Amino acid sequence: MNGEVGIRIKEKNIYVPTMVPILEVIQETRDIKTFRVQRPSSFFYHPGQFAEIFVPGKGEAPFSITSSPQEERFLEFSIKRIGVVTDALHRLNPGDSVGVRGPYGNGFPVSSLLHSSLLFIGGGIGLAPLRSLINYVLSPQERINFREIILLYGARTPQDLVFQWELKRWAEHRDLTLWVTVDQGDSSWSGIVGLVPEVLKKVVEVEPIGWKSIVCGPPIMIKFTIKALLEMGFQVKDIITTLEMRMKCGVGKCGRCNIGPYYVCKDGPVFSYQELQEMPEEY
Amino acid sequence: MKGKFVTHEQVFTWMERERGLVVITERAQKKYHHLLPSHLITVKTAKELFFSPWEAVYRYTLQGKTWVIEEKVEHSSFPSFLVLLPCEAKAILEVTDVNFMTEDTPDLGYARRRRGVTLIIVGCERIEQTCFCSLVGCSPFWRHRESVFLFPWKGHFYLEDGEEKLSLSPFEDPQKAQAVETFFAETICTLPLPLPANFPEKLYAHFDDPLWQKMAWHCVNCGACTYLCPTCYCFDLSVDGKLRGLTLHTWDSCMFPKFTLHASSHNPRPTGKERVRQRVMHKFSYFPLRNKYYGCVGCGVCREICPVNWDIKEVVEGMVRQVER
Repeated sequence: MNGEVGIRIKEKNIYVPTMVPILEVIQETRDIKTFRVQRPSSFFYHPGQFAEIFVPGKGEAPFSITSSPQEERFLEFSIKRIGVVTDALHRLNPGDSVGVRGPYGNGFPVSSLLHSSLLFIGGGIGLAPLRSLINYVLSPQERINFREIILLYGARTPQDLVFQWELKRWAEHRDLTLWVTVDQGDSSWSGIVGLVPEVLKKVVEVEPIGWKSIVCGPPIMIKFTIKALLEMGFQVKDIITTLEMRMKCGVGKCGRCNIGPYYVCKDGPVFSYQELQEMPEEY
Repeated sequence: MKGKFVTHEQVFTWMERERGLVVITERAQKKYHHLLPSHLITVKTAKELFFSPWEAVYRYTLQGKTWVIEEKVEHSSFPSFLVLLPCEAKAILEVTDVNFMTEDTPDLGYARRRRGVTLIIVGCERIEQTCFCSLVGCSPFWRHRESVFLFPWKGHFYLEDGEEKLSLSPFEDPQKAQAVETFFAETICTLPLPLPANFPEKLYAHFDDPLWQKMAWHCVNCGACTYLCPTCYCFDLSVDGKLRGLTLHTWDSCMFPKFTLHASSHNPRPTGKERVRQRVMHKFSYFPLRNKYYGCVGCGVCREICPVNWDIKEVVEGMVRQVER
């Protein structure tokens, strides 16, 4: 009989989340909220990694961590209301608790970005995973390790821009050049109007040698932005993007998030365009 | 010579004595009902003993204003021996163990149940019409160093039990053991040849082959094959209960449209073609590319039970012709 094995071996069950309180909820747009939750002890992560968030009675879903790993007290997730779990999350308030397990995924290849200039390109909620890395590289400890930093961010309308408070801070930051564009302006908007790939070709003038570009946004935006970057002379290995997939376990076991032999939850979600080209187009 | 011999009675009596600790798969039971006790506990597939079709991972309860999470730990007694066919054992040792028992992130439910169980492999005297194990690196006499191996031989059982996990006091007969080995080697020579070398790589290169459409058209995506497949291990984590409830670890199937459906309603595998391709590619390309063994053991169960006679062997042979063209 080995029924007692379960008691004798005190191991960690990888599917059990840690319940943490929500510290703050920020309404970003009509349907996007940023949740600041307490960082569980021994939760160490890299920019670009994600976590599974559990809402009791509703379920679990994966979200990229948008706060920088240097924030010791909390984790932030920016979440669009789109399904069962996110709808339940949007009903929660500070003081309520959610389950967190992770971190999962490979994260951005920070060591291979060292001593390069970085061109961040975000679309819509796609700025969330980039924000973790942007704030990481902008931090006083890390800033010296990177050269020029540009962020081009676009959304459908001015009301769809997320992290407006952060955009204001970044605009004033002397170590970062910020371009913000919207597909469709309105009377309140005095900035650039145009699709991200077009604006990219028009306003961002860089010699791609020594540059790396990190792109995240809706699939169609990623597709045309990569095309524009290639036209600008970027190498396929210097274009980095992060993918989305339906996930459950987060550790490459449940078998649903694979693209060919690669699991997005374990081998991804960050891939270079070079890697993506070698994978079947099933994402 | 590592093999020894025991009598049918010895094995029968041992299993009778250890009855509560021995579980047998239905397929092994069907094949050897005349040699083994008939009232052993049976399981439909070997995997379900460790990878439960339905298992609670933890309980969540709202107490006052706080949610309390309690991990579910099984305390019930569990069998120590599993009697099964070679292909079923290969599926456990080279596929589901590989997926669930990874060192860094073991699936605790699976690992806890699996650790204490010794596999008793009973070799196949006869090969069924649906079997194709020799194509994928298995054989009717497939053995593994950590498992016990039995094979009925002229009124006795040929036994390989290096670690003496079964206290059976077998007798030695080197000449007879040599005859068994020769029989195994000669029989294996008569079986169909394995799939071509580098088939996983070659098949991967045919991801966009239009042939997939033809291969997939008559599959109804019912998922019966994935549930009875000894290697299929895909699962779901879902919740049951609002203010108090359980998070469940349940079997899932790549044949179902919702398996990969995003919240945004985008689906990377929207039709039967992509789902059938995923099932075949995972077993014959992706899994071996990652873990060196095929994700199919050639047991033929899916060919036997498919309601529309969709045949994985025909599909794979069709793809072999296509890649070798």
